[in-house]
Amino acid sequence: MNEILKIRLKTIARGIMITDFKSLIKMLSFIFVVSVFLYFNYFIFYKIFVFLLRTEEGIGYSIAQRLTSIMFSIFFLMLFMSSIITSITTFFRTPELEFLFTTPIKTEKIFFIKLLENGIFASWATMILSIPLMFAIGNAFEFGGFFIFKAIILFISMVFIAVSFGLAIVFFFSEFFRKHSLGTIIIVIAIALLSVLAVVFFMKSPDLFNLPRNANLYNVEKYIASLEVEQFKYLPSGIIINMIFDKSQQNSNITNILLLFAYIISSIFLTIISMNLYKNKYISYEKTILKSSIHANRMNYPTFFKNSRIALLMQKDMLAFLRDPSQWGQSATFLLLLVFYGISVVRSPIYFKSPFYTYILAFANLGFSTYIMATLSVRFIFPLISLEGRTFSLIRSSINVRDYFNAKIVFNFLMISVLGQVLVIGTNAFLNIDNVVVIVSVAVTFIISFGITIINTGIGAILADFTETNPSKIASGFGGIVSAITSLAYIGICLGILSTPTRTYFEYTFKKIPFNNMYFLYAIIFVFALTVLLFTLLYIAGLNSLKKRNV
Amino acid sequence: MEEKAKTSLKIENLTKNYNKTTAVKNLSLSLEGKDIFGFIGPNGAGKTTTIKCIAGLLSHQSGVISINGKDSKLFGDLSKKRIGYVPDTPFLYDKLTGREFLYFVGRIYGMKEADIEKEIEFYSKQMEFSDYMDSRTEEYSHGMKQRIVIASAFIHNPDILLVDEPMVGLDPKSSRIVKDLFKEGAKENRILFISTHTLSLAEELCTKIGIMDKGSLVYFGSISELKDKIKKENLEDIFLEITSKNE
Ligand SMILES: Nc1ncnc2c1ncn2[C@@H]1O[C@H](COP(=O)(O)OP(=O)(O)O)[C@@H](O)[C@H]1O
Ligand SMILES: [Mg+2]
Repeated sequence: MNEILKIRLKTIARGIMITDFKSLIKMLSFIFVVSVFLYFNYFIFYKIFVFLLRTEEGIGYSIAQRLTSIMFSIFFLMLFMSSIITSITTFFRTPELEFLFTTPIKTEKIFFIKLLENGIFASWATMILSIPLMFAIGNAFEFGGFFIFKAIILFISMVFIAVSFGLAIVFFFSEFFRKHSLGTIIIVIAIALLSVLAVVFFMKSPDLFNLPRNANLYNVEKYIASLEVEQFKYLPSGIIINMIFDKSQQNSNITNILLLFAYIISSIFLTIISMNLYKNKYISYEKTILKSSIHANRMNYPTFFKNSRIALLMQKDMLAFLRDPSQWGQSATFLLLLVFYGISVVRSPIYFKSPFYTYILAFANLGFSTYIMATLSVRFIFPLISLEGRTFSLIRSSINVRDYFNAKIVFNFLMISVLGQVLVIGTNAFLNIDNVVVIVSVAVTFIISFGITIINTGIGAILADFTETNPSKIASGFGGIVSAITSLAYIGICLGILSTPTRTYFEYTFKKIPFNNMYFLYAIIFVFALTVLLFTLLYIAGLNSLKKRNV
Repeated sequence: MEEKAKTSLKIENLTKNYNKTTAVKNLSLSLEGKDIFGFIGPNGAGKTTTIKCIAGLLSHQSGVISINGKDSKLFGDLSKKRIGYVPDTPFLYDKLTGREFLYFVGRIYGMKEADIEKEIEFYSKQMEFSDYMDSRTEEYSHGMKQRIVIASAFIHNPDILLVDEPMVGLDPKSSRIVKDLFKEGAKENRILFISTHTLSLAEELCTKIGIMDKGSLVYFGSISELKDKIKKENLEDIFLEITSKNE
């Protein structure tokens, strides 16, 4: 067997080996937390689908299919992007390569191991989201037991296609990747992807406006059916969605199978070419970027709050964030996907003239936006304190820990709430909803931003890991998952509290019964009280653990 | 083929650019078995770059590096058995123990189980790591790691051993151990190529030295010749004098 593979397996085994009672407990709680997380994701998706399927007129089915199609396209683009970013590191920058390339191990073997690693690194985040999603689809649509098997195989082929195409791009344009910093590379890729999306969007949009606003339901449904996966029909994600939902039409099934097959063959082909280029690409790639750009000193910038320590700390965080491409590169990816999401939401209501569906969409949007806020915070906010690393002792010896903690909270809150408000207000503005719903959404988003901030900052302080330097790893560790679950549970409870008045509101508006807005106020007060409670608890616990921490 | 001709390393007009910066300019030198070569120069002089080119980890724009008369560009993966490389930051697999890492390296180089065991036995005594080699390398200090990595390079008995800044961050004891190993490691069929920015090491160990400055080799020869030439006893002064002339 391959020696390097053996080492990998041994490393994993050592990482999870149970040697004493403490590690047993740690292991068990980790398994527990991960299962709860997966189940929670499943539960949310399942509820959404069941809810949609229950709506009259069968429109729900189309929306559900459309929603999954959008999500799979997002997954595919995410996989593709992360494959590009991770393969630069796995194939060219890892210190291990220097060791491996001086040994007599064959280049093909090194390539193979790295390919496997790259696939795992690039896809684990998507896996965690999509496996529960696929189970939810299978159960909600009652596709039967064989479905999951089929879906997982299809999904794995999608991962393989995305990863090998991403890899091929890195290999074919390695001259470019070599000459530019990771930052520039990510910007260029993002711009390229954005322009592709823009072109697709503009090419499709004339179609959109052709829809008569007052068509009857039958027409609307036909229209949706024709649009369903239209936009990304030829992406592997589109093909897979077609295959998942396709039950009858034999013809399209064969076309899909052939298309998927063509994708897989070209992926294999690209991978083999890359393998043969690997050695030469590696030795002409300069591994350490010693000379990045020269930075003007921005630490002594005359800030408005010149004497405030909090402002100084926030400034430091901002600089560190902007100069670390692995940090903002991923946020750029997410932002791109959010634009994509926004476009999809904005486009949807045109098919539904009934205000009823607009409200459903508004509520779903609130749910989805807060869900995105929670996920993003776990990735970006939670690791911030751990990332302080060894310098934390410096901070503690020179600055009041409370000031430090407050600065973190303010900074994180600003980032999260701006993101949340842009998402919620931006999409609601296009939905043409009445002001009550908009005000409620804004207020709720504001409060929830606060809750999510304190969860991720507080738990980030309590479970800080000052030894790890890779933010993705910190986020996917034990603390990150605890944080993710707490955030999701918190959002779930908040949305649960809100769902009662919302449902009544929809019903009353639909039946034209006057609605007492105080119901919303009560719900908001509930959510607010919950958040204050959470804030107090986590603030005290987080601050205390930072004070006691020995680094 | 198996008769052991004396190992040789010959570099002719090696030039390496990174984008715009020239890291190594027209470097030529030649070494043969039993040489302990001290490759001296301040930070950024181009030592690491040269070593990586020899190890086949970096491509170079022009010049020829030949090992035993054969252009290193034509070397296949298997010919790498002849070269050992110790990077400036030691690389080890975190979750493995030192002993396991040495085993791993031995296996990669196709050594027999019994030989690996014998070598590990020998080096663990010589370099005094037997009491920690069975714990995981993530718990090691820098000096402990460095000793394991150096042993791993010696274990497969390379003809050319490239060592990049081995003394950085070592405590006096570790540094003594490493120096002794180098002294005893010199033999007919082996070239020891050691880069350093501290002169004491070169003075103590090396039979030949080369002084690098801003990518060029400004001196190549033996220490005693150099001392004769510049008529200063202290190598430190010589070094400073040579490297400041090029300002
Ligand atoms: N990957 C790289 N990209 C760009 N420039 C580099 C890279 N590696 C080294 N350099 C530059 O090449 C020169 C020589 O560096 P190096 O060989 O590391 O020197 P030394 O090992 O003697 O300290 C320096 O000017 C350094 O800035
Ligand atoms: Mg160096």
